[in-house]
Amino acid sequence: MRIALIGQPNCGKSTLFNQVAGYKAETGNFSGTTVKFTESKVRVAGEVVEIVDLPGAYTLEAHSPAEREAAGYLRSNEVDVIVNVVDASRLALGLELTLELLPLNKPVILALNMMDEADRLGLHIDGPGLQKELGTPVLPLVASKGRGVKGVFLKALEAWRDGFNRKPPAGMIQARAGDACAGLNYLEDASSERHGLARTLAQKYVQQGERRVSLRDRLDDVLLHPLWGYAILLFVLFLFFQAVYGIGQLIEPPLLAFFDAVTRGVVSPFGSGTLFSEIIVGVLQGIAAGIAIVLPYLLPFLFGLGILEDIGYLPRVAFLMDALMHRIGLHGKAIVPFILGYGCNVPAVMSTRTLEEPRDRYLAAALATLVPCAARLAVVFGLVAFYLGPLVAFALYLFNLLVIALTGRILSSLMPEDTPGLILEMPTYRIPTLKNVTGKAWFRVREFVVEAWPILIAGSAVLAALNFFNAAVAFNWLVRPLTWSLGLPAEVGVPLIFGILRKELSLVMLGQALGTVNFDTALSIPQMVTYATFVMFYLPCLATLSVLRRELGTRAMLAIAALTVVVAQIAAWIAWVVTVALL
Amino acid sequence: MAALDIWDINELMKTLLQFSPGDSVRVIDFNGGINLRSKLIQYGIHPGDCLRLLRKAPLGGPFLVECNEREIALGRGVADKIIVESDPCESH
Repeated sequence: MRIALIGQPNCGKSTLFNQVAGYKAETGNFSGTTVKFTESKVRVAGEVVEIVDLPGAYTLEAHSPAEREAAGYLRSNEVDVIVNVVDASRLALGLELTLELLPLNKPVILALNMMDEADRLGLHIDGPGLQKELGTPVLPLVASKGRGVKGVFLKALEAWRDGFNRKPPAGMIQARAGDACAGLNYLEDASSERHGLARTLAQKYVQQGERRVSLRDRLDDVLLHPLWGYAILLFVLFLFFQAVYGIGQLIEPPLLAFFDAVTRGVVSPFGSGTLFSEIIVGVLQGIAAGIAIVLPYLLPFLFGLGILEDIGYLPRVAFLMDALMHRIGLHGKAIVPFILGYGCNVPAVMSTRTLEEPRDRYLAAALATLVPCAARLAVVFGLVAFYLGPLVAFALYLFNLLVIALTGRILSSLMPEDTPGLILEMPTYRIPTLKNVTGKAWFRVREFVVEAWPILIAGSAVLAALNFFNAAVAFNWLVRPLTWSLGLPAEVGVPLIFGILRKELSLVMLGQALGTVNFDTALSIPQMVTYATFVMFYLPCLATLSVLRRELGTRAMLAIAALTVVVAQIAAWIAWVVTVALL
Repeated sequence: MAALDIWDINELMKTLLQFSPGDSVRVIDFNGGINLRSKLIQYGIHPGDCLRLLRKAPLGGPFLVECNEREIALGRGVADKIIVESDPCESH
């Protein structure tokens, strides 16, 4: 005999499964699909029973292929008994799925899970009453503590042995089922009908006693506070960046030193100055660029983001920042790409995926690529902070925010808002699990490795070959109109082009191009500020470009790239005028 | 329930935007397209449901409402499209 466990997401269904997952747990592939259900054999009262854990679903009206598969499986002959796990503290919601399961003509056991949580919320549930009304067994359960588990499966076994002879449901359901068609002539008739019925049932059989203030309410009082909420947000972001930069600075220098050594070791047998050795150096540089982006910044960033996500803090950030984001034509959810952008634009662009509207994704991605990432931070620090002081660097960061806000306003006025605005569930707080967080981080890193890294390596090799044929001079002339209009020497063309590969190269190669590492002897103060400002905004790096193409398509990528050059040009020009005026 | 002037058009067309934290309201209808409707239904907000307004973010930020034991954040633009009536909703 086979029992299928089904329930809505977060109802504790998997907790129940893990409580009983007995001597032979396995993951099965069903009927030629890639959808995986977890299955386990369990001994119940001397009988070997197979238990299948189906993925959580709010409804059987499936939209995703996985949900469709689960719904089809439930209807098939392979399932003998359905155990429907419902979060007792959210009965009205859970019963909507139950009302879909009852017409399947299979025995259904309704397990009201998290009875302890419901009790804490002051909810008194009339189980026997509900059982009578639904005509199907209703049992209490606290799966996390293993209470009531045995009862549920004994009942399931009993239901199977008795065969399917459900008592007809009493009054309300019978009556309502009849007038479902004649009822509300509304958008989603069946769904609305079930919703109304589930609510009526919950109202009838759940009594609200005194609600004890939950931990969640107390946390939200602080974290969503009009003043403390923002203070804590700043503090959390500060800690987050501190941690990521800390890890990055620990890892990056030895990594780069290692790759320098490897490059020297590999090249020396071929002798330097040949086309072959130059291309090898280019390839190694591409590999190093990928590793220098992924390991020090991307990985800690995605890991940290996964933790914030799993705790449930990100929706709170969206809630707090919604008003501000509206000023630039977006809503609260779009804050995440901006935060991530300061570390690396690659995860920033990836995270625009969480926005529903294409227009919002486009706008958020375009603006997020203007956020100076950690590599551009290196340029601003190495040039501006080092020669002109940290205050000037700070001023540049403020200027950057201003430019992003202005660009956002202009772009959003060109793309009128047709979105409903922010609609976002505030989940309960949860303790993140290592497995979940690493799984998500790995999934996102893999995308980068597969999509962006090969392009980075190929681009690096091509640039190295062009460099060999002395095309560097050609680069300088290619971007000469640009550098000329900004009052910069022609030599900065090469570091600007190589900066597309990896932003630090705009600083590293500047020394090579100018023939000195004492930049103040080759560049005037306004020139330094202008150059740093231009680097801050112009073309995202190749890795970001390829992620843009993947997320939004080639046309959007080209449009955003063109936009960044225009913005960089204007911003650098303003920076030049302001610096000259101040001197 | 408090006496309501059913002929008061302002009372009839009140949106969620006009209420404050602590208020309970009942959803009458959505003043928006199919996109908005299906979105709200997806988040478990249907006409006839009771909403409890929990808090507001400052400076024109979103509303946080409780509906069917779920907490949903709604931007002001969305809140202004939800037509509600004031209702203590004691049964819940």
